Amino acid sequence: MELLLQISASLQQGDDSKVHELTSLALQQGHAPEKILSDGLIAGMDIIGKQFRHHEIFLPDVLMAAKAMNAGLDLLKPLLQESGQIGLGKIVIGTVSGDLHDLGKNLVTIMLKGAGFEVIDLGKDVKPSTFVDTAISENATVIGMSALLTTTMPVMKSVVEILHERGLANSIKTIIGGAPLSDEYAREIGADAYAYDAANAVVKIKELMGV
Amino acid sequence: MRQSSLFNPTEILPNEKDILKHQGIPEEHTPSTRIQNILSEAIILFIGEAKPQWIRAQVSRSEFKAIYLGAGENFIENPLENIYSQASNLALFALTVGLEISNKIENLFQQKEYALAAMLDSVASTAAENAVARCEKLYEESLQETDETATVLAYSPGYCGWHISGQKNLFDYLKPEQIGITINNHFLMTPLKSVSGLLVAGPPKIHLFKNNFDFCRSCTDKSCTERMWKINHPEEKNSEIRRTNGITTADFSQSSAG
Ligand code: B1M
Repeated sequence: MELLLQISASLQQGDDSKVHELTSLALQQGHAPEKILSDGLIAGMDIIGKQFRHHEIFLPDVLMAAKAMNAGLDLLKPLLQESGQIGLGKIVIGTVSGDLHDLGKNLVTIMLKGAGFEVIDLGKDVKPSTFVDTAISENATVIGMSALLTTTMPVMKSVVEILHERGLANSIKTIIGGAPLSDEYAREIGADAYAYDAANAVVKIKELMGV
Repeated sequence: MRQSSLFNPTEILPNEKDILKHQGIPEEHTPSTRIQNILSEAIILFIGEAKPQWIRAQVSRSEFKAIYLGAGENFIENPLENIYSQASNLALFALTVGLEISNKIENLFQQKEYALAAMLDSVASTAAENAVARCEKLYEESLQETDETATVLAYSPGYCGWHISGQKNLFDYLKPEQIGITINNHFLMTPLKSVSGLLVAGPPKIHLFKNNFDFCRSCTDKSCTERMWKINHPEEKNSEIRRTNGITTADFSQSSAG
């Protein structure tokens, strides 16, 4: 089997040491890091994502594949950074201030990285200004916010307002998610998108970035 | 009367079926050996790391009325007012699975042990739900001498029309800080895997209501149906420890859309 296909297959099996070994081999053989990323790692995660959406595999399978993806990515990242091509685009993500529910945000982060995005994870209890300041300093084009309580979701509105005040609402898009959120709420606060789960977040962010 | 105590983690340990369901793995599906191993590892970690504790304080109906109405944000039409006003005994409670387990989950995510981290999260969430069921049982047992036919069910702020801000008054009265549970301005409890609420004891029929309130339409869990079914089928009541606090198990499976 062709090497990049083997990487994809090992990733799908969640075999992180094999992915690490094969990625290293591919680099030694002169494959371009961008090609290994797109045709090996991302291609594998793409299949995993589809199987998950079709209920053919389950969350632990996706997370094992994501760990395997990381094993390859760790080798590629320094090289991709050198060439300035780190992925599909940059996203700043976090759970809004006052809220500590971060499982959903973590799953979204893992899926986004698997799809080839660069994600800056600010963690939980993140202040509105921190979202915006980080997006500016990191040149990110999307801010992703997560909240699980009706009492913390208003923080999302503050982020959107700051972006408008600073004239950044066109260059930095916002996406929200979490149990009490909805498309309707996103529209109400002027957020650009809402995603109901991690796979949907990937789709929506691709739309926002036009990739 | 105020009481607090520890649970042994094994006392609230969820069964494998419930943990897998929380992970979105359907009952009819046999998990792979790798998933089974991750599950076993998560259970061992839970037993080693969890520090479950609970606190309970008896309240009179009038005291609870003040606590319940105090926050002022409850839905006007809701089942709980009718339920607690018919109760023979009431107690506020709070419980936690402990901070250590949340820290462990966070560390595992940082170490990129994603599958184990998410599995441990499911074990801890399901265990918190089981702990509510244990609290109901313990309260029921404590009432044996005076109120032997009483059935105890827990109701929590954030569910069934009781606004989540109701936790403020609940905390002022119960003082769960004693067992390490604190609350922030957004009514979020730390440690994360904690539950607060009211234990309502009384004749089984007081827990029955028509679930067609305004907020029922947006409720995704509908676990009241299961609770009421159990009341109507008492022979099933002691079959296994099950969550009955109105907090549903999450389903991680993706929606087929998208
Ligand atoms: C950036 O872009 C994006 C895009 C997509 C994004 C995104 C960002 N962020 C998330 N997504 C999306 O993708 C993710 C992956 O698919 C998803 O992320 P989620 O985080 O939603 O999903 C997780 C992967 C799995 N989901 C979860 O783990 C949460 C599931 C539900 C059932 C839930 C659980 C399990 C628990 N809880 Co409770 N709990 C509920 C939840 C109801 C629900 N159906 O969601 C919710 C959040 N809880 C609620 C409540 C009220 C409470 N809970 C409490 C306790 C608990 C347990 C401890 C029993 C347990 C664990 C808590 C935890 N999360 O660790 C209490 C609070 C705890 C605290 N620390 O303060 C308590 C206050 C009850 C009480 N009085 O004790 C409700 C909040 C209502 C409100 N008004 O805000 C609630 C919505 C249930 C309900 N009533 O319908 C999507 O939302």
